[in-house]
Amino acid sequence: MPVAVDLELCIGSGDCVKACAFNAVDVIDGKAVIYENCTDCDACVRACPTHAIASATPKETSAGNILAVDFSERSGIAAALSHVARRIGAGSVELRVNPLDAGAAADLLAHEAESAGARLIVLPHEGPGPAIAARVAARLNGALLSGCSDLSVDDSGGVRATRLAYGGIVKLTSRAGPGTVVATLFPRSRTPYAARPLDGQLELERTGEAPSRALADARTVVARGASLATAAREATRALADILGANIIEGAELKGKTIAPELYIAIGVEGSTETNAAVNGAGTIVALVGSESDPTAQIADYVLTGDVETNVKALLAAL
Amino acid sequence: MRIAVCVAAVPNPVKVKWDRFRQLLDRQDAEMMLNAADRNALEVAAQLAKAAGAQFDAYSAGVGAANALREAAVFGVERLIAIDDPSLVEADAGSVAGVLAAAITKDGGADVIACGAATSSNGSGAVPGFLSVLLNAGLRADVIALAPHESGLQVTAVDGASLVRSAASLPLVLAAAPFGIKTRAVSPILLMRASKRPIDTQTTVELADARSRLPLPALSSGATDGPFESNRKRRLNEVVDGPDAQARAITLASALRERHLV
Repeated sequence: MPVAVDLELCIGSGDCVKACAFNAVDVIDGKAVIYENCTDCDACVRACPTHAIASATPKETSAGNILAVDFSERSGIAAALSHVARRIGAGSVELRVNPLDAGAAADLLAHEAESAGARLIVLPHEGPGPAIAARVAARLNGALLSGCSDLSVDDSGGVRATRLAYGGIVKLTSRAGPGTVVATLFPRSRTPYAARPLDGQLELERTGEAPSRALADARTVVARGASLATAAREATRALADILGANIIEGAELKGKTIAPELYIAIGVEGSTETNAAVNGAGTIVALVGSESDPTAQIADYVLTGDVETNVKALLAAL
Repeated sequence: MRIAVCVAAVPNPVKVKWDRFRQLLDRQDAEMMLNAADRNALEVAAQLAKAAGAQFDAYSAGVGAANALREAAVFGVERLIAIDDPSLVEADAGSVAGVLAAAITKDGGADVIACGAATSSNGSGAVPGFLSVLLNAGLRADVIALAPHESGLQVTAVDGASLVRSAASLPLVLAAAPFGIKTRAVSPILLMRASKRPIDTQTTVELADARSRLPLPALSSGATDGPFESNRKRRLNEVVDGPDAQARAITLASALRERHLV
């Protein structure tokens, strides 16, 4: 059978059933079941929201081993890459590295990549990630794909990346390989993930708190309304942490202009002023009480109903 | 101590628009200006130069290099060096790093080479990493401040939620943090004065000899880019449907994943 279902990850969403053009998949007792008429088109693999379905047969030209590098247990790269590895039938090695001495970290990673026979090395596109990735690519004489929103491996073993440019108003698809490819990926889900630490030996002294990223530069912004209950506010904070987003109070938007790729308004009392402030956002999601709320009028996706229940459900789904 | 700062020219992001009739990125009306992140590198270098009693030079390669350097001059730069010829149009980070490293080497090398985090246009943030290999130097990123320290430098950098201080030896390439550095204001009068400063313009042909002596004479990013496509869509105004909150949240999460947003 060409595809396999991981029953622990399967939530029985039924997206695979809708995606399959051959009626080769069904959901029985809340779990996906693949029939023998499956043609290995991988439509269900792409549709599955929890990545529970994977090609059981490795592609003939796989990416070799994938080396996923995280800077902290919440960088999210190892978690994202384990799905890519499963999709293409490649092995995956997860490392956590101390990026403070970026040069030493890059040289260690280049050595580890050679030892592991890795042909795709992926780092977070944040902090020292891009600089380290470039140094690793130069050391390994490999190609560099920097600032990727999504990564995949094509049938000829090349790596394809979607990248956003000019503040997200345009996107482009880039390709590199076959051969060694080093990529940096924007961290999305920040679920903790265990990776082998590969710490450098740098003596350092903590001197204070780091400054926060400017709201104008944020890729994801979560805004919360003043009337949210404590539990909903805490869930909103957790959602922002998972997305690596800047969190603000809805009232703070007045008189500002922001243009993140993703703006999520949670129980924000919408107005003409706040709507104008987020007009440049790539995608707007509104969690509101009703469809008539002003924020819902400018949103791409609207979740109506009890805000606290919805934000907790979204937190669980991500 | 010799300090070099590498800066980039970018199209004014406010003037860049997606032309939905011609289906292309319209950069025609966008004048070239200094990349915003490079101001942080200039400020870090200016502070270090003041503390060390040294001077610093600014290098820029590619289209609009002179515009970026004029703005950089406001930070107290000693020499302005532009590398601008047709071969650098649409050059990738590897090629740009190659000519910058060649220009710095031709001038006798540098102990500290400061760069911005990434360009605000299509920046990969790869130039500091490539430069560190080409100039056989150490590499630090997310740097907030530098100070002279014994035979090297004391580096203050961002480490997650903390600021940390550590020692670094020379030569060192650094990428300044994209936030958290207070840069000086650039007034029109200062810009007007800076526009009269001479710029030393060089071509890639003049740098060919220095380039051939670098450890990787043919460094390239090695990736092929497709055409730009619009990433702006009309608002969908889609009310997420489903039997319960959990099902609706899963549908929403799937839609966001499909658009590479989470």
